[in-house]
Amino acid sequence: MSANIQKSKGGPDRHPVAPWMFLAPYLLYAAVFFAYPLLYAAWLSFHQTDGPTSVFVGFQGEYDNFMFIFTDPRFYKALLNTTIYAIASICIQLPIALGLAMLLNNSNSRMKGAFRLMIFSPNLVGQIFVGVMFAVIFTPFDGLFNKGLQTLIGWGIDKQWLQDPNLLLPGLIIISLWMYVGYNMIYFLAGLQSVDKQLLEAAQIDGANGWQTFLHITLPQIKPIAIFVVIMSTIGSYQLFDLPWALMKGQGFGPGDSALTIVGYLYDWGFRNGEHGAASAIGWILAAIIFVISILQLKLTRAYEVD
Amino acid sequence: MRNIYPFGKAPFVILIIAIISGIVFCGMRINELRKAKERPDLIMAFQAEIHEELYREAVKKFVEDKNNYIVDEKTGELRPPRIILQRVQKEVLMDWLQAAMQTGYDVPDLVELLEGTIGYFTRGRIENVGFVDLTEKLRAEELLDEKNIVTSRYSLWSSRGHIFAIPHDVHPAGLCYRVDLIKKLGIDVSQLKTWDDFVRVGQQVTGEWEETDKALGIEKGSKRYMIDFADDSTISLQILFTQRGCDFFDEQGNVAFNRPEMAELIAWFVHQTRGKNLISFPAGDGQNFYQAMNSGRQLFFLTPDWRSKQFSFDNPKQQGNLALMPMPVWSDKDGKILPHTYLSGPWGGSGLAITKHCKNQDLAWKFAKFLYTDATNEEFAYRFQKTNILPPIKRAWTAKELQEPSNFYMTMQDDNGNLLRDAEGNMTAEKLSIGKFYSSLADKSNGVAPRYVTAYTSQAETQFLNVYYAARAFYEKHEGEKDVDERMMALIKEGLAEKAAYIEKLIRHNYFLSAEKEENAAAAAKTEPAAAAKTEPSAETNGSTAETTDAAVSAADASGVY
Repeated sequence: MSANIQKSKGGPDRHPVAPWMFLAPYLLYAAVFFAYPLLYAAWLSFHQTDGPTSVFVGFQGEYDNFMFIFTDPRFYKALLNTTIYAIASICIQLPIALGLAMLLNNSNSRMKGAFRLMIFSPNLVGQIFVGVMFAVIFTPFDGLFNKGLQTLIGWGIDKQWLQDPNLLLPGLIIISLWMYVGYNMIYFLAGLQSVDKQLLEAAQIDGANGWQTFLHITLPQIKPIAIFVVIMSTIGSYQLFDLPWALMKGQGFGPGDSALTIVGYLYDWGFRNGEHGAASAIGWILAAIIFVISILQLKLTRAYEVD
Repeated sequence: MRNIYPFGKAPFVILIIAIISGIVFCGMRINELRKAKERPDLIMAFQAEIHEELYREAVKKFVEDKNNYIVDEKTGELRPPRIILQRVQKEVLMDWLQAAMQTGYDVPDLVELLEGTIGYFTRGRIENVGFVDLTEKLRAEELLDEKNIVTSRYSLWSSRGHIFAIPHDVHPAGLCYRVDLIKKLGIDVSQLKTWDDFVRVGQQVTGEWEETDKALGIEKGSKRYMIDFADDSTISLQILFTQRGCDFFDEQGNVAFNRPEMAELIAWFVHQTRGKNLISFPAGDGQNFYQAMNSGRQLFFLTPDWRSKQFSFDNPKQQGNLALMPMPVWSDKDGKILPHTYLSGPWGGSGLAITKHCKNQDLAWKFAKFLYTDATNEEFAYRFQKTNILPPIKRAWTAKELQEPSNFYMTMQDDNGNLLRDAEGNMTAEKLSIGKFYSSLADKSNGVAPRYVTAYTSQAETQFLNVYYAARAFYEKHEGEKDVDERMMALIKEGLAEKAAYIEKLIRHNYFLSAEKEENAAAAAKTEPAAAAKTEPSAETNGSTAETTDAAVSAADASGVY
């Protein structure tokens, strides 16, 4: 077969450049929009800029971008907030998504499709819209949430939810639950539908209960998808920006920086301070954090191991 | 098919699509380049919708005036200039400008900047600021003279003694209130002279409405607060502290918020927004705001000139029922007005800057002057009628239209500040000239407080707010405990010192500012002995505001501090 291909009229022997020509648009695209910005950001992270002018600052004392960031309490605040959000996303959001996916997978209801759409639909709305919407919902006196509370329990009409540093981050987590549970549920549902039914039947015949079947059959079978969802959720969580920004109506990141994320911190440096060098350094630090966490997750979940 | 293209149908289709889109892209680009060659003589970018109609009319007048004709490069003949106005949404304007300045591509010739935005462009060396330094041009036109213009407004557009934009407005804040509610509650507004008076009355009236009154829009049991202070941004705090004579930065750009007056103001603000004796609750914005106003939730609203127009647009049902009064002033415990305080703090502002990329800078300056400073009083009056915005050019305040009583706004005080009463001794109100009202706030040396903007203003706002938030949380937790105020004050002072140090560190991190500062210091050290020898010991100043402004410009220039 391979000999036939090699001898064919249009085979690689005759057009050795052809595969590269097909790849060229992507390679060009990746070089211009991925590799170049990445390398330029690395170069920029050791510089300070003033309009089109830039100067190399490297590791020079107070001018050093990396040193400033690593000694800046706001960076650690942003890192802490983002990490809490990421952990909550994984520990709360994913089990709920998996649970809903299992419910829908086991259900024979005709409404299955409708429920799937209902749970997924918040994801069709962008983070900015969701942020604006919840900002309105949480408005004191006239917001839906406060009015609902007042009607139900006679309390909370004047509560300023978005002004409480202790409530803002949990609020963000709840909003993101509403947004992303459906999205992750679809992945899990796809995974559950590909679980070998013969294995499930065999387990039932062998007398395994529901929990045992889930633990020893379902979970190992959906492991690749679960790892993918965990890693994508982690990356997504560390890139959180639009939601808190819209929720606070572009007026910073909440009382006491309680909704400051790493990308928000990057935005502050790049677009409020105008320091693109420091913003690039934060970008690289963020990339390194995500890379390390992803590797750790792959190691811990033994994703590379072949059964 | 194989004879024409050996790789099959699908790649062939992809190739055709690629070729077609390539041709379309190139065609668009060529068209763009052709258009770029036909660039108008001036492009002015701005964001305020309300300005659009006014500026279009102004452009028409400007280009029709033969004195403004320019020589055509191709034909050598005189022709009217081509001016294009581009209204762009606020954030987009900033993004566009930042990118354009960075790349030097598609930079507008004139830009109407919004308050605070110039800081982004002044974060480097002064010679690298992308806007034309207008200081000497303004001086030549006597526009640095307090008798012609409200000079405090240059503070928004200056950096290190150089002015980069002409101020469009004054925006002094007053207080707006509903006459019917004030009458119902029997509040004597003439007695609200100081903030202490205001708080005292505020504590009495803050609570709940005792009865439903559909005509007034109030419901029994609904909340009532004396004033609307926004506590999720620096807007209200800023109006208050600038009125108190404080700011984030001083005239030379040094961090200036770590001072006892600021600490006192934060503590004061915490008491008004939190705790058992609060008098304020934020009314929000948009529909929530008008709902609050119409339902009597808040009684007083901080209202600069532009906002007064907004109220009349958005809430016409209150026509003839909204009144304006000056903000109370800051006083000591004996009611004596504190030194260095102002009648009003400003809220917002626009300024017109010419970019260095502008090829027709003389024409741009001529147009900028025509628009902002040389307009006739009729034109200023027309704009005022459309916007309620008080121009900083004092000559314009004498226009008849600015003196006329408003159809929308009332006052409950006479010219001396006394309460108006009818024949039966009841409180009453009469029509107010809002032009006269706002210009009376601006027409004094202690009228409208300056506000200095640097590259770090937005960061200072964030840090300052964090001090307030920390104080607020502390007070909520410990209210009623022994020495709570002293402990809160200590916390505020510590917070201000820490945050000021943070901003100073941010400034030191800026290589360009630090290098420029060192160079200026070295240059000053060299010239100092010579200058000292030349200085006459008995030099005196007459203390006029005009000279103060000029002196401040020169002093900041020489000091090179930020």
